[in-house]
Amino acid sequence: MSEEFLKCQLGFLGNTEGSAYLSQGKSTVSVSVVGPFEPKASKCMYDRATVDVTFRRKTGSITVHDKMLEGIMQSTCEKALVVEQYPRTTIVVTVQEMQDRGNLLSTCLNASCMGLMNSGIAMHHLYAAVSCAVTEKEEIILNPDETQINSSVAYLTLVFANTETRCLLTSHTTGEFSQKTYMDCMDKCYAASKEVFNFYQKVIKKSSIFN
Amino acid sequence: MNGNPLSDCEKTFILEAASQKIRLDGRKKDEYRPLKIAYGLDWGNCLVTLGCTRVFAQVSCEIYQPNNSRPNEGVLQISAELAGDNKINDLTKINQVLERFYKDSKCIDLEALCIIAEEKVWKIKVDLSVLNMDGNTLGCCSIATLAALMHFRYPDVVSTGEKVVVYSSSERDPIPLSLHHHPVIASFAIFEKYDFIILDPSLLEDKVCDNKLSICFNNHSEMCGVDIEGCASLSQNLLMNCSNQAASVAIKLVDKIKSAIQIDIKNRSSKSFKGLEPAVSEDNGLKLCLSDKIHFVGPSNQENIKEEIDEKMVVDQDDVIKITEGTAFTASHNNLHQISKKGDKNDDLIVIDPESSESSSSDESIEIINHYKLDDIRPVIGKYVVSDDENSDTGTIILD
Repeated sequence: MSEEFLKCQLGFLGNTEGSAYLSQGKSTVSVSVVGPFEPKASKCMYDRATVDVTFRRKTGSITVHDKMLEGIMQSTCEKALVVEQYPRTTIVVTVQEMQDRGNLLSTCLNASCMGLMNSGIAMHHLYAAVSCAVTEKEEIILNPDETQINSSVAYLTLVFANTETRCLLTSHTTGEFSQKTYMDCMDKCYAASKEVFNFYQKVIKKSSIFN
Repeated sequence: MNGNPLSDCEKTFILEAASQKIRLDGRKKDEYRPLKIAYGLDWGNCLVTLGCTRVFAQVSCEIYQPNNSRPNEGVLQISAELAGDNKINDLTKINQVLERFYKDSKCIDLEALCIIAEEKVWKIKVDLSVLNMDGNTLGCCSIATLAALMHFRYPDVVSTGEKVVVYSSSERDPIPLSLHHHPVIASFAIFEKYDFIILDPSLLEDKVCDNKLSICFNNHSEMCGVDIEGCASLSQNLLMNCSNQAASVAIKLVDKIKSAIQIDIKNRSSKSFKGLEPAVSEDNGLKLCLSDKIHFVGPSNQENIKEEIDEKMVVDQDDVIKITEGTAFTASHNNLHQISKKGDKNDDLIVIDPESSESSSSDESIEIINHYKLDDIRPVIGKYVVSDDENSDTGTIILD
């Protein structure tokens, strides 16, 4: 897998607090972060900020499966943000799918993390999502392409935080696999997530003026 | 943010500049901002960047029952929505103008989209996502619409009497839409007091100007529509001048789109074509290449622990925990705490299994805590912790 894995541009939208344009393999998404701003009274919470993640398909309409992806992103983002610091506000994260060639969930999650980093909203930790596919021969392919996903027996997306100890935030799995395979996948994805965190660091260094 | 009201200072500054016939960004009055059109992997998928205004378009098609009044014509639908911007701005106006200009100018051969009259026609849907608004949103939307429509291909269809066969792209090459002409909108902002007319207004100019004039022209210099917004009264001369200018602009824009499509089709044949992706340059953007060998940074004695646990599983299987092969394990963000324990307590196994907790409390070597909630942050005691969560229907096993 020596091909380009991640490509990113931060702050490419002018009217938002934070934005990221990320391509992972052949999948591309753009993320914008708006807020914290004052929401409608019904959405207001007196002790914390509400986080609202919207996932948009390029054709406009979203399915039940997309709603589920939205929920996964929402819970991951909400955990990462220091919501107590912004009471009575809302933070809106919009994820726009631009091109889908597999690994959409991990691309969206990585892009949303970069968008949040770019926005300067306080965060507990960063997160990185890595997808892997398990083939029939129990081989683990990191960041598989579309055909590899379709021919695999199991497909996992694991999200890790950048803490000292290994900290799994979210795990979304489909298909059937043994426990040992799961642990192996976790090892591999964790190793790959370290690379993603290094990448985050480089991007921030490059985009900030103090480099 | 777009929702912010315009300050008086800004307003007077721009008006002052307009009185001296200068634009804030130093452009000439008939100069467009740099236009970039990038096509994606799918047909009819493009990202148009005009200055900082970004519009993303996707054309899709579906088989649809035609309207009763036009039984042998396909349907064209254009909808623009805001994405990524805050929701204060309203795009209904842009939607209306686009629909009017593109539908009523009959640029698409809708009759060619008919499969069976009165029963099945193609419905072509253009979805525009306005990612960023920085002036001239309408103009950028129209470029995106046209660029996407010109690029789009719909699957080949053969109707044999009663059956309709839709061929996938691998079976037969999809067909491009037949366009009679290529209309595109040029927007002007008019400062009436200073007799200053500018093309492609930026966001601030857009907000300050007296009048907004949008003229739609096609590549044959034929007018397809005019939209005037604002309160200034326009003279006939001014309108004629503007439309002449718009006609020449439209030709340039259509040429630009055509060359972008040609470049795209050339690129498409190469295998490394990746469609839309962020531009990586010296100033911004970065890419990461994963190497084949990723060094593992997991716990060093990972292998040993795993074997040990496997043995225990076999011993305990009959009376303690029933673990079948291929059980799916899901860890949600709620048990963050338990997982992070892994580093310091290597020989702990936490089992949260809703089914097998009751029967297993007889074993002395294992301490069992029943009803161990997922969000409980009790420290782990003993070798096994079997716990039960009523709310979760997925069992979770975390090993180290």
